[in-house]
Amino acid sequence: MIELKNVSKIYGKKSSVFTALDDVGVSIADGASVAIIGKSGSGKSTLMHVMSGLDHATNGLVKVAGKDLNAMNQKTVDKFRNKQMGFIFQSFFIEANQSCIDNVSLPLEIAKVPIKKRKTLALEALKEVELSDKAESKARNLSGGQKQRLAIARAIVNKPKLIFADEPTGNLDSTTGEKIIQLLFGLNKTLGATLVMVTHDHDLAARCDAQIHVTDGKITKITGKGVK
Amino acid sequence: MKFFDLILRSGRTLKSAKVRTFLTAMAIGVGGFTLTLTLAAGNGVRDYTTKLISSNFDPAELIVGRDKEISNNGAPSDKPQEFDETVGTLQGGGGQNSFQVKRVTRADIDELKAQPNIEQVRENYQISIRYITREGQKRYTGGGQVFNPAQKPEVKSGVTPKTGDISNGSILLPDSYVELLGFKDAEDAIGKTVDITVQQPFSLASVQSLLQNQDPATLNAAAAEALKPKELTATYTIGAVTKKAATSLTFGVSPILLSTNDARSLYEFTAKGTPDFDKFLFVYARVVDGKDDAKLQAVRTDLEAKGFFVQSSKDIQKTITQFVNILQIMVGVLGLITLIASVFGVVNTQYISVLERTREIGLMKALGMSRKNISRLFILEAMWIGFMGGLVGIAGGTLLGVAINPWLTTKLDLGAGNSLLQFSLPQMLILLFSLMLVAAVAGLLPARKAAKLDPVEALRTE
Repeated sequence: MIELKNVSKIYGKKSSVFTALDDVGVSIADGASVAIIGKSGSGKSTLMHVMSGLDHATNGLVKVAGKDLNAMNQKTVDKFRNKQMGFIFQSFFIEANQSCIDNVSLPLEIAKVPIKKRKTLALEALKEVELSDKAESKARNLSGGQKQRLAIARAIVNKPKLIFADEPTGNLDSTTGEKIIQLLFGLNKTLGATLVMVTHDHDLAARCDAQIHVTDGKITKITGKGVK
Repeated sequence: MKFFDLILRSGRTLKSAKVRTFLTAMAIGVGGFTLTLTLAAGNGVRDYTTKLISSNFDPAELIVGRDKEISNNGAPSDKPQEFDETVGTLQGGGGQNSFQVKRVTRADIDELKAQPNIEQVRENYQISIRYITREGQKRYTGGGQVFNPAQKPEVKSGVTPKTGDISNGSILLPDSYVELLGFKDAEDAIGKTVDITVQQPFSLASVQSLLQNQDPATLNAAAAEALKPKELTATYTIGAVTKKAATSLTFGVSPILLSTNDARSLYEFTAKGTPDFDKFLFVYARVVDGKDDAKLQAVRTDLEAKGFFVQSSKDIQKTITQFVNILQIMVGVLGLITLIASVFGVVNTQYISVLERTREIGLMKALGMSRKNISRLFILEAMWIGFMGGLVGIAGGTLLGVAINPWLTTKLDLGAGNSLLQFSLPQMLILLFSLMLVAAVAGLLPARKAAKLDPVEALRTE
């Protein structure tokens, strides 16, 4: 359960103040698939960052799985994010010079998981995204779709309760993008993880359980089920 | 993140920028190389100095003089001294320099001998030999000195006593005379005899005897006779043939070594009647149980209170070591300057690395890596650079050193078994660790920058 109450995010000081989020409130049920939709600069990414603890809200309450992220110190938030969340980005953000298995292992490495267990879990995650055969190859040799699948494997390797995806298909052609979307929805169902996706693609948004529309830092409309 | 994983990860990241890493490491390597050789040379020279001192000086002996020049480490005094019968002028630097030194007299020697803690006083006789020869051979020049058991001359044939004096009537002959005097080899010379001739210069005694001669008929002939230098020829048995030790402090032709008594009689013949007779720059005083430093120092303090100037073999070693240290520091500073330059290289490389990997840092932060670990990751990277550079530099320095050591030994005439460059593993490890530490310090600033990156900002970078 993600719960936001009266959340604001203000960038800059005094003369150059920019309000990215303006008194936002929303709650997302566990296991839902949610699209945050809006134009660029609308504040949709900021909303996701605040929900995931990547960014600190200026005001308000950000409650994730019963914990107030805004009240926790940076270290605890980092740890929380490491254990409970997975991230997928538009431009993959994988380390091209490292092997697929090393890429996938990163969150586990950060979580101090012993090396043997890391390997098992990473291979499991790679199997989930059908990249088992690429485990030892360098990430740079993968195609765009494979890279995003690798990123997904990395996002699910720690068995998170929440998966955040920022424009996951933005850098992919429609066929490859479709495969990624199907994979994400599939994982949402099989893992029971809440999927929060930032997109400006209305068709993609429509396939989620719920849609949060953001304009100029405000939530203008919430459609679908599981989100209030 | 576990520390070990951080070490591995930081090493792995460097692999993706091999050339850059290598070049940065090389800068540290040059510093490491210089410092390795500097340290090795320091070790070698210090070791050589120790050998030099131990094979030329008896640690139980004190060098006792009447002038502060004896214990002064600097240049001789340039002030004229008050006249005194015991002050003599020493010529040096091709006769262009001269300095006055107050010398030790017979009375001083007697005073020293009276000390209960001094078991022996050895005069530093320098005998100018007119010539040395043997039957049917040419005459050769040379010098004579008292045998000093501490000097440990290298023996080619025959035997030298381990302690105490050589027996009267026998000498130790330097091997350079063996062929000249017509011996087959060093072995052949043992037990054979040589004649040593010394000369008495025009002396007061001959003038006195001349003055007593009142007969005008013989005066002219007597005067001519009196003015002719007198000679004394003594025959000695060769006890051993010596070779100049590589660690000998003697320059030029090695002296013929005589027993104290023989040296004394030759000295008396050559110097008696001259104003320099029985006046010495310094004498050697052997202290009872002088190997015990406390006892040696006690005697030294005692003598200094009596107005003597004293030096021990340790002082001489200290003087040489001080000189070596200054040289080493000078070269070491050059190495350090290279290191400082390389620090900027590491800072620069790491800054670029942070900039290049902004997204990666952002991602690691998003995935929950703490600021502290991000910072550590970059510091460790810098330490890897230091490690590699240090390894290459130290290994390079060592290899070069080992390779040129034999050449240096011959070139500098250090003698077999002595090497100028001596490498010590603990020293090298400390150096390696220090280089890593220097690199780590260089990595601090970039690491801080990496740790402070805002993940949201970093991930926005396309």
